[in-house]
Amino acid sequence: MTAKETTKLQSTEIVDSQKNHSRIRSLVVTRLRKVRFSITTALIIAKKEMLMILRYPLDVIFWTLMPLMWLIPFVFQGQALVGSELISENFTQLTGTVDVLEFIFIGALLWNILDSAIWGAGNALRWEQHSGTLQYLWLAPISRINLMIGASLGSTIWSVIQIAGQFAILSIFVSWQVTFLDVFMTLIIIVLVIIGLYGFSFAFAGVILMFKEPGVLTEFVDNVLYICSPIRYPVKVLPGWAKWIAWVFPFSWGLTAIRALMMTNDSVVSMLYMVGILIAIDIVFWIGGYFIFRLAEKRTLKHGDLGNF
Amino acid sequence: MKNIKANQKEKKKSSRIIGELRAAWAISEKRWRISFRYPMDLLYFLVAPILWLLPQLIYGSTLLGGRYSESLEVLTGTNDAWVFTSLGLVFNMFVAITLWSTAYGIRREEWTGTFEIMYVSPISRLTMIFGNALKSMMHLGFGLFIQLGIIIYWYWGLFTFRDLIVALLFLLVSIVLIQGMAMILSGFVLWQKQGYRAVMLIQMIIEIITPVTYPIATMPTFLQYLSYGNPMTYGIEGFRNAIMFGTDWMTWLYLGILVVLSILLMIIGVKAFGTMEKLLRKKGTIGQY
Repeated sequence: MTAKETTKLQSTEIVDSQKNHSRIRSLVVTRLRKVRFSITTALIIAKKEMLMILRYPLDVIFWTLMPLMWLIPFVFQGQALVGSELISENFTQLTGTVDVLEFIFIGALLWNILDSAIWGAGNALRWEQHSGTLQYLWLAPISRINLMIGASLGSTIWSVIQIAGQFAILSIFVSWQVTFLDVFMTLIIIVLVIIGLYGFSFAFAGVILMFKEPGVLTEFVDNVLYICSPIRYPVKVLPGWAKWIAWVFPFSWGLTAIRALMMTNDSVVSMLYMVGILIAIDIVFWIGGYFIFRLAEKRTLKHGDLGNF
Repeated sequence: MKNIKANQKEKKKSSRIIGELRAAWAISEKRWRISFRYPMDLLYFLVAPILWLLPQLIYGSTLLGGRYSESLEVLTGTNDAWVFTSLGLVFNMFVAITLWSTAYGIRREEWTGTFEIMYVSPISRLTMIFGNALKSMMHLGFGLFIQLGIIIYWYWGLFTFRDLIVALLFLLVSIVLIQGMAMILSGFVLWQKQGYRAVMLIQMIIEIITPVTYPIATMPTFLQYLSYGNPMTYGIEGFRNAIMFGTDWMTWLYLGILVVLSILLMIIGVKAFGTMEKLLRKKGTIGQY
């Protein structure tokens, strides 16, 4: 090979590598733009959801106070069964804490997250159908998953508002003894629970997209998850099948971890163990939720019953 | 001549009552037909009564480590927390869910676009509400029998057949109570349209001052006073006491109070609905969505 040929080859290689570089760069830029576009889409949908919620300010007050009122019969029931001090040996053995009130208050606070994942994000597409805007959203050049992420984001903000309001009210009755680290860890766990429940919302929205009439299905899922979640009692007391449902859901892990942080001061190792499980469940829920939603979407389009009421 | 006229009047009256009953049945049949279009809905209400009982029962068992409570025995005379809680819940669910479903009967007609047609038909408003209540009661009746079946199994041999009949009498009277309360709430829904928040709030307040899963003695004093003015208290206490402790003069007294309060509430309900209707017709907002 002559020197001229070598130079030519080298220059061709340089040009090729430059071309490759610019191709990769444009690919990265396109991907980044897509991500930015997805985030913008989700944020716009979330903003729309929030605007609708804020149009009914009484709803915000009502749904902040109502779950607290639901607690009153449980408190009276407890007092009737174990005395006005609400101290139970069996409960202490099962949960590691004597404070029944704090236990059920934490459960009630976090139930808002699961409840809004079922009623809010899970039913989001059905609400759009009710208000006659589903077809417009479906025709928009955006990913339907982003649509769902936006709806879930809206539900999350809604439940955060509720939790904050309820926490402020419950603080009158309970003196929370928590450190800065507890609060930080609690926030991380809540975020992980919410992320996992997004996957559940996608799957649930897909099922509703197929079956249309969501009332009964939503009520059923809501009731079953309420029974199987450790809101008023620990998972230990549930029958075997209910325990399985409980431990499959990120909500039960999150609630158990938060109670361990705020009430029984469990070790960091056990906390990290629960966080690890939560991350694993989140991944499974996202993948499962994504595929179920896509499947439902395809089936609905194929059968042409998207517009069917 | 006088006799013939009186006879005709009597006939007209009885045919009107029969007509109203047939109309109520027709409304209930229409709702049944809609329900049969959604078999999942029907199935759910067969399973739901069990689902609604479980959280309170599991919570109670967690506190007690079993079924029996000494504290409850001191307060009520029975230590069986399962039966005490379940009987209260059974009665409360029957009344509360029928009430909710009936109160929203009118709104449901509005959603399906049949409200105006129903409204101009020559039937009493009471019949319109009763038709809706009839369907809800029949539907929930199945669940109620499942719940009662479970409780009877738990409490087998500890009550007589006569006590059970007396307890069912309380449920029968509660139908009049539901009708009265439903008339008041229906008037409210007719006025407020999307007034579910207020209906839920009223229902919740009633539930707190009703001794469903706890005796009256557990409530703070001011709530106890409110509880004695609440007809549901006599319904639940009478129903539960008849099965758990047998029928005595107190049971009959509670039944008497329940009958009087139910009739009173029915009269108030009819009047309230009529007044609300007149007001809305004057404003011309009945047909508004």
